[in-house]
Amino acid sequence: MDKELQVSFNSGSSKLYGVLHSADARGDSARAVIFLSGWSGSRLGPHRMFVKTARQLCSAGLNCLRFDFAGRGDSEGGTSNASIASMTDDAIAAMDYVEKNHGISKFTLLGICSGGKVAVSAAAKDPRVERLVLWSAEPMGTLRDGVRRSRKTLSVVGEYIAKLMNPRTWKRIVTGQVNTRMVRKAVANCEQATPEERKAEDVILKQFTSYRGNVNLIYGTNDPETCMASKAYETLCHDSKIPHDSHRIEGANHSFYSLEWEKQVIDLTADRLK
Amino acid sequence: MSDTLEEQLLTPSGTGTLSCVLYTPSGTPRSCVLFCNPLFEERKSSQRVMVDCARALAADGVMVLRFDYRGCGDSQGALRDFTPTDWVADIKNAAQLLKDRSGGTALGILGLRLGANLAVSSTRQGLATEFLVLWEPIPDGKPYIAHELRRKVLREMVTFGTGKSSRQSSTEQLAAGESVDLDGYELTPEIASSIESLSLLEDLSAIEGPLYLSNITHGDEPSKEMMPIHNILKKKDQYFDLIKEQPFWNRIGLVECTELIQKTQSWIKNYK
Repeated sequence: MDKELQVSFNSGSSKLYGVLHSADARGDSARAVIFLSGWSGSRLGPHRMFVKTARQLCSAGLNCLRFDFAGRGDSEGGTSNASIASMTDDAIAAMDYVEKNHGISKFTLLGICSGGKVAVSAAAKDPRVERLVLWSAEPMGTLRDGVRRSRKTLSVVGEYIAKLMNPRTWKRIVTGQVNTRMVRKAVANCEQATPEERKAEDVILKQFTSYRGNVNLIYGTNDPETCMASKAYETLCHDSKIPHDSHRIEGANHSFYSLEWEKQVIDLTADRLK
Repeated sequence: MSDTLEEQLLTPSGTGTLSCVLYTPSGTPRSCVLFCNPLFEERKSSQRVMVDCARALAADGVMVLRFDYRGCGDSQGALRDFTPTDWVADIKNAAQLLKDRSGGTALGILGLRLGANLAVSSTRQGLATEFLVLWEPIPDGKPYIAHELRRKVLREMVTFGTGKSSRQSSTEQLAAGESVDLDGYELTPEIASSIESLSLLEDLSAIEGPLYLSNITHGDEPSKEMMPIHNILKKKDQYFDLIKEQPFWNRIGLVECTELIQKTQSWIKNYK
C-alpha cells in the first residue's frame, strides 16, 4: 500500500521539510522522482499539481519526494537567501537523503519553471540523475537570448490579475476598453537576469553538455516563452547528443492552470516514467 | 538558532488524515493558536507568511499548529470530495490535537480569508476558543465566489486574449449541478453553495470574547465591504485593525508581512 511519510533532512544549515511517497515493496526500489518547485513555490506545486502527480506516480510504483527549498514553504532559511545555486544544493541534499535512508541511487528530477533550471544544474553536477522532466522550464544563461522574460514574469501576470480585479477595471474590460493583447505583450517583456546570474548559468550549461541521461520537455502553447525556451533546450540537447523529447500542451499557460491541462501533463509524465 | 521545536504530524479527521506542523516553544506555552488556511491558490500564495507568523508566535511562547483541510495541501483526498462542513470538522479535530499537545492551555484560532470564516463557523458550532484572530475574512460568500469566477475569466483573457468562459456560464454550470474548473481546482456546486451562504456579519454578531480582525487594504479607512463589520466590532469592544499590506494571498512572488505579524503578536500577547 502506498505510504506518505513526512520527512526532513538538512541542507547546509537549514532543515528542509518534505513528503516521501513510498511505493513500498511492489515499487521500483532503485529509482525515485524528486520534485523541484518554481521560484516562490512550495512542494505542493501550482494548484496542488505536485501532490496529484506524486500520488499518481506512486500508485504506478514510483517512489517520489516532494520537498520545500530552504526559505520556501515550511523549510527553514531566509526567504531572500535562496538562489538557483542554493536550490541546487538542496536538490542534491534531497538525493543524498533518499539514498542514505532508502537505498535509492537513481533519480528523475521533475522541475517546473525555475525548478527546471535547478534540475538542469543538479544534473550537470550529479551523476545519479538519469532523467529530467522539465515543465515550463525557464531558459538559462545564453539560452535566454531572444527570450525576453525573467523569473518575475509570473508575478507580473499575478500583478495584472490582481489589478484587473478592481471592479472599475473589470467594467472597462468587459466593455472592451482594456487591451488584453497589450497586457499579454507586457507580461512577456520583462527584465533580464543580472550579468552575474547569466555567467553562472552559462557555466552550468557548459557542464550540462556532458549529461548522459534523458530529458523530457513539456510546455504550454500559451506560455509567453514556450517557443523560444522549448526550442532553446531542444537545440542544447540535440547539439550535446542528449536523448530528449518535447511536447506542447495545446492552449496551456505557464503553470497549466486547468484540470484538463494538468491531467495531460501528469499523464504524459507518467507515461514517460513507465 | 530558534528554540522552537518544529514537528510534522498526522492526525485523523473523519475518514481521512490531516497533515500538520506543530511549533512548540521552549518552556510551558502561555497559549496555543490553531491556524486555518485560505482555500484554492490563496493557500499556496500565503504559505510563507503563515509559516513566518507561526515561528514569530512560537518565539513568543505560543504553541502553534498549522494544518491542511482534507482535500487540500498535503492532507489526504481530493478537493471535490469535501465541503466546508467537513473542513469545520477538520478544524475541531486539529484543535483537539493542539489542546492535547499543549496540556490544555488557552486555545485561539487564527484564520486567513476563508479560513477566518471557517474558524468563526467552528466557534459558532461549539468549538471552545478563548480568542479569535481573523486576517481579511470574507465579508460575504456570494461576492467571493463571483470574484473567483471573475478571476478565472481574467486569467483566460490574459492567456488567450479573450475569455473562454463567462461568469454567467460558470454560475449556470454550478446551478445545473456541474463542477467548475477554477484554474485547476474543482469547485463543486456543494462547495460553492456552502461558501455562498457565509455571512460574516451574521456570524460575528453572535460571537463574544476577544477578537482581533485585520482589514488589509491600501486605504486609510475600512474597505466598503468591511465597514459594517467594523461597526459591529466597535460596539462590542472587539478589535478592528487596518493594515497597509499587499494582499499576499493573491501574489505569486513572496511577500514579507512584518506589520501584520507584529501587530498580531502584540495583540495575542496583550489581549487579556
